[in-house]
Amino acid sequence: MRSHTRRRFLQGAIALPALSSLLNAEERQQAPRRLVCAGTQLGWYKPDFFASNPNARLIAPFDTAGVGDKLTTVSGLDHKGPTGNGHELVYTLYTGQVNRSISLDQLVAPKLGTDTRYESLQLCAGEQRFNAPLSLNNNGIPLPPIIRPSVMFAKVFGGDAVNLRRQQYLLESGRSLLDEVTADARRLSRRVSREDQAKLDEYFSSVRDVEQKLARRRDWLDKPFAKPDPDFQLPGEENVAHSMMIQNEDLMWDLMALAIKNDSCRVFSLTIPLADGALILGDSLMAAGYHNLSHHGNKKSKVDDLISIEAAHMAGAARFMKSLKETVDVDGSRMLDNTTVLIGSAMADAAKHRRVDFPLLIGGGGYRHQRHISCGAEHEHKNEMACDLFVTVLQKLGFEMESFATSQSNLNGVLL
Amino acid sequence: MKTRRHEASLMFVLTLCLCGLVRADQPDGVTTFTREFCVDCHGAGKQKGEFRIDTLAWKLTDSESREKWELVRDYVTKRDMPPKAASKHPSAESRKAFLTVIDDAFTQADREAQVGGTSVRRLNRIEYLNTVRDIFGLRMINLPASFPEDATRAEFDTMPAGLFLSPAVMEGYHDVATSIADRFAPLPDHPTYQSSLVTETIGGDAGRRWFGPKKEFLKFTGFNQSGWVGALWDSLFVARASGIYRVRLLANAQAESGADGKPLRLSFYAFDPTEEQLPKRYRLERATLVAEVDVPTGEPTWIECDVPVEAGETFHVYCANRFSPDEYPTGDLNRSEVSRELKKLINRPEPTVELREMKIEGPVDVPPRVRDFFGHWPPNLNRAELESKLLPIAEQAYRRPLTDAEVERLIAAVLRHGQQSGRTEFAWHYAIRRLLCSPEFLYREAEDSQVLSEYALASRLSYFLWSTMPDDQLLDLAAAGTLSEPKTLAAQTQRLLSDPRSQQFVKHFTGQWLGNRTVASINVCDNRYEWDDNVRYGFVRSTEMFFEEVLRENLPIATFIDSDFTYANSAMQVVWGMKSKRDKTLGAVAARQRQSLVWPEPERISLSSPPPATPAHVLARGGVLGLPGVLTVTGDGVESSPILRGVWVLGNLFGQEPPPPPKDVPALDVDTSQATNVRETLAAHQKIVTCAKCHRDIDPFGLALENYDAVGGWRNSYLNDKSPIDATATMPDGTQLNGAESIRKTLLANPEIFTRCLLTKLLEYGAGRRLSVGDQRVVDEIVASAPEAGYRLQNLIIAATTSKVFLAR
Repeated sequence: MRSHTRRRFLQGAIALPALSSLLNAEERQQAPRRLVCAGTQLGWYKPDFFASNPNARLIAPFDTAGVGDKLTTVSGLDHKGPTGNGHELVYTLYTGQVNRSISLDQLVAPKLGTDTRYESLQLCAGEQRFNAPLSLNNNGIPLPPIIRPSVMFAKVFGGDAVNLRRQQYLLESGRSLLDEVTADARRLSRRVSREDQAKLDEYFSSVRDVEQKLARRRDWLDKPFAKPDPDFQLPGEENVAHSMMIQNEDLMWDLMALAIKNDSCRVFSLTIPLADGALILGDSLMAAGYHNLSHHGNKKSKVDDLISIEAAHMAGAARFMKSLKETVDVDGSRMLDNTTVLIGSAMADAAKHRRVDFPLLIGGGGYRHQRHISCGAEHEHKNEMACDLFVTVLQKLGFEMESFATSQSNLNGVLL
Repeated sequence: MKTRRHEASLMFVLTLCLCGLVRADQPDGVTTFTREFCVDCHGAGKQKGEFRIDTLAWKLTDSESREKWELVRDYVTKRDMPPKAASKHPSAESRKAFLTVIDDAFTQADREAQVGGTSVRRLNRIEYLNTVRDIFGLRMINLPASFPEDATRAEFDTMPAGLFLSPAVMEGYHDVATSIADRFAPLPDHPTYQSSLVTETIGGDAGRRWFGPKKEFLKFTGFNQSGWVGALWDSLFVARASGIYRVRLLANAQAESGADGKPLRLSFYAFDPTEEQLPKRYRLERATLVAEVDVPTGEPTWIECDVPVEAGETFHVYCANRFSPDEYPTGDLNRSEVSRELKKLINRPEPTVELREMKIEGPVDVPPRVRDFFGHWPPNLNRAELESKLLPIAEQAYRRPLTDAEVERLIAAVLRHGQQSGRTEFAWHYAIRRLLCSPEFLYREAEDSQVLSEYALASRLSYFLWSTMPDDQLLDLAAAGTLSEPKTLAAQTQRLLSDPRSQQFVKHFTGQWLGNRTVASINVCDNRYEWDDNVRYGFVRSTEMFFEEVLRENLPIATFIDSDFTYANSAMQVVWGMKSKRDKTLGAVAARQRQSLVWPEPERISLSSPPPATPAHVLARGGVLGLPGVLTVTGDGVESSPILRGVWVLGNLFGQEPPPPPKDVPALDVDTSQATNVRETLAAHQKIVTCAKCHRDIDPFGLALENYDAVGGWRNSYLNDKSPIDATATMPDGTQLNGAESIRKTLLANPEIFTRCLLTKLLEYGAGRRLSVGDQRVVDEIVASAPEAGYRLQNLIIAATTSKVFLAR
């Protein structure tokens, strides 16, 4: 296994913000708010996830990275959906309900993402087995994530010139294309009944919407991409097989940090997919598949192996947070304090296929971090709904919203 | 006197109408009754069950309004309403008078109701993909994963409800049109790929590679169902542009020849690695052999091979002739068994190919089909060329000839683009994108007439039975104006059904009517049931093959109710106790299933002369109620649900759709804490009046099928508490049910019920609408004129396609 030069970039000193060129003076005053929603499809080993355990092995990476005081783990949360076996329900993590509906990141993207090249980006650490990414649009449609670090790299730093010319042609000709087909639709609409004319309104408004999207892409086409970080390099050969999940996940965390630093995007989701196969950790192939390990039956050796995978997920997140903590934002604050990081899994306990009481971690974002909060009926915070936490996040991100999906209240009193 | 009363009530109604309270159109025979007995709970003050009667539209030719009034009639007839607890109850006389008014009005409405009313709708996913594949002859086109699902749960995916055109859909259409244009008329400046791989990096997933000593070279196994061992780099390389990729390999063969006596050779299989939700094995099933190259023996030498790959595709490489195809493990094995068998194969002494280095570069040329179509590349661009090459594509896309004005506009726009860009490729690329984004392509049956035009009829027929565009013969008949003649239409229906493309009808109609799509995606609790992908495949295919036999042999439709045959693959037969254990002898399995390299196909099982020692429950699996796929969709993969099963039987065999649960009663809020089993839980449900109304109709069928577990296996007792299964139940009319057999008997005794149900499903799927009140009267006539022995399936389909329902817009 080649060691990626990325490591050097990670050890790099405090990076200066490279973003100001695209912002006007007014926005310089206030740092932009950002959101990262991450999650696994195979749960987390809860005894080591919650920071209430002083020796929690999944929290250790954050302490090592020096961001242990910038997080809160929350136990006892739930969406109150039906329980049962169902990997297909893992997408409910950020939608807050079982009916397919908009996810938290997509809800905030139109507002937080106005001034950036991308309104939001959806990432996945390599191949997915299920089409169950964390981001769903306002129709409840899962948004396909980017699974290749090289594609994400091109999004952040621009593709080759060839690709640019092609894009230019497509976008320019797209305008007259949409004009022509709109004219087609006007003629067609004269041939149909009045009720059908109303139905065709869908076509007109959808075409207008696509035109606006193309226009946004055209607007950004001429604006130069940020220069790639000289210390960051993609591996020579890209491999998105399940076995390479951790390596790809690391790259995705790092690319997200870079995208935030050059202000290409402010809203992200990162799906850590279910992998049947054995992962390569460090340089060696693990003895059993990730999926298999998540069904550990409390066998110690299996739990330990599972923890080593989950700690690797957390190491990526911790490095990401550290990197943002070391970066000064436009208003002089630390980037981490303006970036809310959520990490969880709607599969609360993969070993039992349980979906209640699922683990969630909130980091960064400038909250009054508590290390750990216990929710649920028998604890001091009676709220049971994960969406209560999301309402607090929404308010912190500047949304005047009192409710989201299945929320009943909020956690403002504890976290704000 | 009568007139005056009429005026008075008219005044009354008008007054209320002005206040916005009441629809002016309910006759007073209705309002007098409802005012006295209904509006207290279903009026301006209260709307129990979210139902309000005083403002209910009196438009009985309209199916939505009609269904509600039918519900009212039903409640009053069965004395469910007013409820027992109500303070006032109508006398038998006033009840009768009220029902007479309603029945007379229904009869009147039936005479007036119009047939037809399908609204304009876009192509669904399947129709879209099939159509572009047929127009452009492309093997691989996929809609982006973000493309919304078409179907709503209650309706077919050919009906407008699920086929709205949202911005996401339009963006999907635009993107996919671009990728089709990329393949057909590649832009000149396409992205290229170049890489050089050494042994350690070839082969992608580390766990699946097979190295020679000291990892000096990589060894190939052969083509196998899982493709897990060998050289595989779908995770390394995906073509960004369609074209020829030049692959150079530093390799040598370990022997002069392979199992077939020819030199050892490598085969390149192209496929799309991202196809949604497909296990790897499915993907390989869709892999296409695109190139082969012989490998010489001796010192490793560089050999070269041109591999045509589509944008988005990758390829696998196998040693094609290390073994004969019979030697590979086939679908009868579960995953770990396959791995084990593959490992055994690897360690066998047969020679193979050793690979040390590999370079991929490309595209070095456009795909072969581009040169075939245009004659040369870059293409010509002039009027004659567009008329001879572009117009046929446009006519296929629009499924009709273009008008002169359309031709002029299209040609002018494409030529203009050629001039502006200075590149002929751009113009062709543009032309294809433009056609595929046009509403004339995306929408079908866009016209405003009582009866479909000939061309729209050609489309309706071919999308019904082929899920793709009409062929030349249909369009020729439409051009001649003779397609709608009953004899021609019947003959064409027959022709389309005998064409292999009718496989699409089998797949998508059973996919929805018999729930196969759900079976294909349901998650089953696999430590509770014997379940793997072979079983799942068997479930899906056995339903399809059952339907197909009825269709191809033109059997009576009663065969769906009961039959003396069923289908099961080897994996299902193991689960059903027909085979003691899986036959793991590779040779034997392969010999039996050589037809399908990948999956174990179901075989026909005669129930009248069954194989020896066939368990009794298998003998009782005639008709669709014995198909495990059908029994699986009515559960959640963990437990069966008598309610879902009851709803399924009622809706799909009896043609009665119970209304959805009332909104003010949360489905799970019934106190069932005292209930110890499913039967008691349901009984608790029925104690609540709102629930009882429908559950009385629904539950008996579900309870009668309780001997089937969540995956359609036979059980005599529950898994949890071992309590014995009781499959008896009483229908609202007092009929006693006991087991599936009693449901079959009920249906066979009243053949018109199932005939109407199936005909309705066929017409809804084919004509793309919920049947209107007028449509239903046509269906009544067809049902009434059934032959003595009942309809056979093909005849029923012909009766459907030649009916006024199908011909009406």
